[in-house]
Amino acid sequence: MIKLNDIWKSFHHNQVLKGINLEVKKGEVVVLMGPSGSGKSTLLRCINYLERADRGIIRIGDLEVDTANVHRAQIAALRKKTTMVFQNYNLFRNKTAIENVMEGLIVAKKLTFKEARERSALSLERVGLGNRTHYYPSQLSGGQQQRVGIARAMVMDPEVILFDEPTSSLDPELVGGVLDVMMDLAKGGMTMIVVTHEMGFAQEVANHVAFMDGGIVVEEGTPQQVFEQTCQDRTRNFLQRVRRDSKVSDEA
Amino acid sequence: MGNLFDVQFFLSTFPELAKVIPVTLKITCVAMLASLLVGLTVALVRIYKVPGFRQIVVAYVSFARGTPMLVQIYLFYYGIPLFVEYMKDHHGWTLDVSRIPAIVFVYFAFTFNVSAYLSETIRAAILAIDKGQLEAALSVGISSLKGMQRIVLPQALAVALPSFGNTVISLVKDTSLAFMISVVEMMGEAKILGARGLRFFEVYVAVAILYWVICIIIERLVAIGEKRVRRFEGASEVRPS
Repeated sequence: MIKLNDIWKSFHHNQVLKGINLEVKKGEVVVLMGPSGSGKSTLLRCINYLERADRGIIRIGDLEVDTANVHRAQIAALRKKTTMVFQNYNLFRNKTAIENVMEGLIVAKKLTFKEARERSALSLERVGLGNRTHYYPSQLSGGQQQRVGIARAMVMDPEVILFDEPTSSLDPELVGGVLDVMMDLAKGGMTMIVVTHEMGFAQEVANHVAFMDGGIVVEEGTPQQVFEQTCQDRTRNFLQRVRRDSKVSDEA
Repeated sequence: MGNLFDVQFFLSTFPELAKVIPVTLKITCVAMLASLLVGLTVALVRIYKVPGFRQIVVAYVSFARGTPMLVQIYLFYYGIPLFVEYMKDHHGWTLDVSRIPAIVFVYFAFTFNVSAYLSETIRAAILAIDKGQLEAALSVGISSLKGMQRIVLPQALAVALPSFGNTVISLVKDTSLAFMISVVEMMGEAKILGARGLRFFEVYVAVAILYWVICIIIERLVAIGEKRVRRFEGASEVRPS
C-alpha cells in the first residue's frame, strides 16, 4: 500500500505541489490527469526521489519517509520499492535491450549474471520483445523502446511502478502496443500510478482517477465518477479539451 | 651539388632516431593516462561544484591553459627540487633530488598541462549526456556513483574520444620540448645527431617524418577506437538476436 500525506514541493519561488494526499492500495491502478504544469510529473518524481519533496510523508509498504527529514539510506530503500517508466524512455543508450533490463538486477539487486539474464529474457518476452534482446535502443522504434522501459521497471519486482506520460512521445500507431503491455501488467496485479491523458486506458483499467490542477488534487474517484459525474468546472473543461483532441486525432 | 642534401647521412639518422622513439612514446603515454585521471577528477569537482575545491580547480585550469608549456616545464624542473629541499629541512624527507631522473619532471609538467585541457573536454562530454540517463539508473535503485561509472561515463567517452585523439597528437609534438631540460627524446636526439654530423637540415627532415608517421598511426588507432565505443549509436546496422 502507498500513502502520500501532505506533499509539498517548490522550485525556487514556484510552488508546484501544495499538499497532495493520495492513497493507492496494493494491486490498484491510479491514473493522474491534469493540464500541463499541474504537478503530476513532479509528484511521481517525488515518490521515488528524483525530486526532493520539501515536506510531507511518503509511505510505501512498511517504509515511511518523512521528506522534511530524510536519510540517504531511506532514499535508497525507497528507490528499491519503486521504479519508473519515463516519457522519453531514457533507455541506457550504451546497452542493448536485455542489458538495459539486467542492469538494475546486477548492480542494485546483486543478482548473478546468469539469473539476471534469465529473468530479463522472460521480462522482455512478456512485453513482446523476445526477438529484440540484442538490439541497441537506437535500433528500436519508440514503442519498442518504451516496452523495454516497462520491462526494465517490472523486472525489479517493485511495490509500485510509476508511469510518467508513457505514451506521450509516441507516434499514434505505436501507442496501442504500449497500452496493451500496461493493461497486461495491471491485470497481473501490479500496483501502478500512471500519469496519462489516455481516457480509454483510464476508463478501462484504472481503479481510481485523480484530477490535478495548480498543485492540488481537484477531484478524484472512480473513472465513472470523475468522467461522467464530474463535479468541478476545471475538470470538466479539461476533459472536454482532451476528448476533442483525441477525436481529432482519431479522424486524422 | 651532392652536398646540398646528403641523402646517405639523412638515411643513416633514421635508425638512431628510432632508438629514442620509446622515450617520446613513454612521455606521451604516462602523461596522457595520468591526465585522464586528473582531468576526470577536476571535471567532476566542477560538475558537482564541490565546495572549497571548486575555486582552486578553476584557478588551476586557467593558469595551466594561460601559460606556455615550456614555462611550465621549467617551473617543475626548478620548483620540485626546491620543494624537496624544503621538505628535507623541515619535515625530515630523505629524498635525494639529484637522483630523480629529468624525465620525471617532464611527466609532472605534461600531466599538469594536459589535465587542464582534458578536464574541459571531459566536463563538456559528461554534460552532453542527457540527464535522463542517470535518472533512469537511479529509478531502478542504482546509486549515482555506479550510474555515473556504468552509464554516463561510457557514453561521455564516445563523445570525448575525438578530442582525446587531438590531445594525444598535440602531446606527441609537445614532447619535443622535453629536451630543454636535457631529456633525450626524438628532438633531442636529432639535435645531437645534427651537431655531430654538422648537417642539421637532413636530420630535421628525418625527425619531421617520424613525428608525422607516429601521428598518422595514432589517428588510425583513435578512429578504430571510436568505431568501437560508438557501436551503440549505429541505428542502421542491426545485430542478429
